Formats: sequence, structure tokens, C-alpha cells
Amino acid sequence: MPPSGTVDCSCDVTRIGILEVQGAFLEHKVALQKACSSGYTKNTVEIMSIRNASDIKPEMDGLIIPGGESTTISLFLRRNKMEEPLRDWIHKKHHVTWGTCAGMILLSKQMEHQKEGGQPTLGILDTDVSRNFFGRQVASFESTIEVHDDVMSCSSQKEPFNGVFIRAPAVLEVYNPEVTVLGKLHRPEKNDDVIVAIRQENVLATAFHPELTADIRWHVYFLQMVENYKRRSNNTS
Amino acid sequence: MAKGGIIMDVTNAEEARIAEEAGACAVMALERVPADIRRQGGVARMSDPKMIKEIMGAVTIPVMAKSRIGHFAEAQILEAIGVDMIDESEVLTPADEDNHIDKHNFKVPFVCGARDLGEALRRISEGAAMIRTKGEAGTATPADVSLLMQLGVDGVFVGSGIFKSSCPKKRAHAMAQAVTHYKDAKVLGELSSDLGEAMFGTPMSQRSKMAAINKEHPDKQQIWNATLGSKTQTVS
Repeated sequence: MPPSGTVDCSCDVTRIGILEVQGAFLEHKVALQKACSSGYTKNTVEIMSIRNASDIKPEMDGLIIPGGESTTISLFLRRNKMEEPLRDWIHKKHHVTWGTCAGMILLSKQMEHQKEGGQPTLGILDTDVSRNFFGRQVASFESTIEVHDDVMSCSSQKEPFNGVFIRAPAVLEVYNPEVTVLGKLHRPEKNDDVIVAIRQENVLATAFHPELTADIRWHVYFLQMVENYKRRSNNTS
Repeated sequence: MAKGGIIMDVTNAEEARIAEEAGACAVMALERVPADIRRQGGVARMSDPKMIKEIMGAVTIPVMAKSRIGHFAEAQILEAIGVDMIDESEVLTPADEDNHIDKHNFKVPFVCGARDLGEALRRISEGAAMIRTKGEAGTATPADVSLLMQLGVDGVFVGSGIFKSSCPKKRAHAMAQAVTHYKDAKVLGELSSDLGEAMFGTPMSQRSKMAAINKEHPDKQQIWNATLGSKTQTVS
């Protein structure tokens, strides 16, 4: 059975919506609950499932768009009239969004290797993302990635991150100085560095799948981001 | 990442495009859908690599293909073509009834059919990455999808159910939506409306008669027939 939605950490409640169209949404739920009970976050997490436009609630503080097939997810969002409500929600300054793998593709304004006839995106990040950048399933791999200090300092763990890349995308280009590169993959055979994690203000995107590993640091980082934005908006209101 | 999605059997690039447009998270490339393989009989083998490559070129979603049980050479060829997953499938004629492929030797992941926990665990110990059910009456409607999802599966394979129906495009759309909306009976009601005729399936009652015969004479061929669908049980 899937774990229940709430874990008791402390007093305040952070509400995280997970887009449950297709892909690794259950794994994100488990990882969030582990991150919440790790002691690195202050609030209790309440997880909300999103399968309809009416599930996108203003009281949500964070949103995760999990990995799966970007075509499958984008077609579903269009047919169920969820694109505009999601865009509106993400654009609110105090809301924090995280896309993994297909989620990164859906958040990018530009995309390479689309399906025939093109595919819709939410068009949030000022980036150009390539689908299946590393190739097909047989080219999927695990590798250590170089991670920005902001993410490293979110917990006391200091060992390197192991990135799981499954038919993964990559960021080809960044068009806005507000985009911070949070993770890079060094490829010795090509002697290059591929951008695999970025942040543009309140939106986070990773090409790999932290939810498929036991390492909860990216979930901790995301929850801390959510708490910071929430605190800021509470202080200003 | 096929979890929470629907995987459709397709026999050419055009059907693969319909499946992708419907929202399938992967397609299974094969020359004939299982219903035709059963009806036509004879030895069923791996599909023509040319056809598989055409399908791989037509869509951006993962493409799976079937190898015969125990036929590791077919699996090696499928891996070399670059398919995204191999189905070591009882739908094709088994090359070796006792020994399945040693799937640990491959980089490409495998899916295998299983009827019970023991069989599933044997396949996993051989290296299978995914387990599917087999020998059921066929998944053909949004209600079938909902039933399977509510029973707790991670995703749904549709064999002959879509392209053997009267309106494949509409049915494919409805079934892809049903995987996500499986808990919402009201939406399923809309999705199930006006889909035309479903595929012609074989009722389970006829299958269980066959299974009863197998219990009395548990010879290997009959056990395989129960899984593959023999000529006596399939209505053509």
C-alpha cells in the first residue's frame, strides 16, 4: 500500500502537490516523507495528489512534476485542461516547483527532439532542453554529479551525489542570468560538462531521478526552498 | 519510466503514431497482435527488425519488442537494434520450455509474464526488471484498465484490445486517460461512452475448461496451450 499523506515532524504544515499523471510519483512521496523526518526540515508535510485541474489548490506551497514520458504527461495536461491552472500556480512568487526528468522537459520554454507534430510544454524556464539527450534505454546510466554548494549545504552529508539517468534530458542552453546551474555531469570520454540541474528563482529542475535513490538531499533542498518562500510570503503579507 | 502508464501493441509505424498521440508511455512492436498469432497457429518468432526499426523511427516514446522464451539469440539481436525493453513472451512459440533467457547478461531490461508469485520470482531471479500478468481474457476497455489499476498494478499492457476494435484511435485515447483517472468512476463513465465495438475476446469460462483438462493430463504441451491459447479454445 502507498504510504499515507501525512508524517508528523513538528508544528507547521507544508503542503506539497505531486502531479500523478504518469511516472515515478509514488517514489517522490516516499522520498519526501523520508526527507521530512530527517530533521533537516521544520514543518510537517502534507502530500496532495494532482490528477485534475480542480486538484491544483492555492493553499499548496510546493509542486513536484515527476519523471515519466513527457509526451504522455503533456497530452494528458492538455486534454484535461490543466496547463493554464498549472502555469498560473507556478507563476505565483511564493510557490515552489520541482520537475525531475520529464518534469524538467515540461518546464522548459524550448525543447529539442519533440515527437512528430511537436509537444506542448508549460514554458516556465528560460532554457533549451533536449529530450533523450544521452540516447535510448540501453544508454541509461548512473554517475556521480558535481553539485553546487547551495545544495551540498542543506544537510551534513558530504559524499558525492549519485545521479540516476533514465533516457534522461539535459539542459543545452540557458537564456537568463537568473538561472543558477546546480548540477553538472562531467563526461571524460567527451571531455565536457553537461548541465543536469538548474534553478530559476522559485523553480527547480533535475534531469536525473533523486527519488529512485536512498539519497534524500535533493528532497531536503526542495523542502527547505518551499519553507523559505513560505516564510518570506508570510512576513510580507 | 513506464510506471502509471499504458503500453500498447502496435504492428506498424502508423499504429505506433496513434498510440503515441493517445498518450501511451511505450509501444510493443510486433508483426501480429496476440489474437492473430493464436488464431493462425504455427511457430511465432521475433518480428522483422526492419519493422521494429521503422516503429522506433516513427515515435519518441520507448519501443519494446518480443523474443521467444529461451531464445537468447533473438534477444541479443533485439538489444543490438536498440529496443528499449525486451518482452520474453509466451505469445511467441517457446524456443526452450525449461530454460528461460539468462537476462543478467543483457543491458536492456526485460519484462516477463507470470501467473503466480513463484513464477514471478523465478523470472526476477533470472534478471527480469518487470513482471506482467498473462493468459487473462484481454484488456479492452477503460473499465478493464481501472479494474487492474485498483488491484494495484503499476501500469497496463494492452495487446489486441485497441487495434482489434472498431475505433482504435478513440479507444486508445480513452484507455490512456483511464490509467490516470482509474479511481474516478464518473470520468470513466464518460471515457467508456461511444467507443464502438471492443475486440472479440475469449471468455474465461472456455479457458477454465481447458485448464481443467490440463489438470487431468498435465503434459507440457497442454500447459503451454493453456497459456498460449490453443486452436481448440480460441474462437476464430
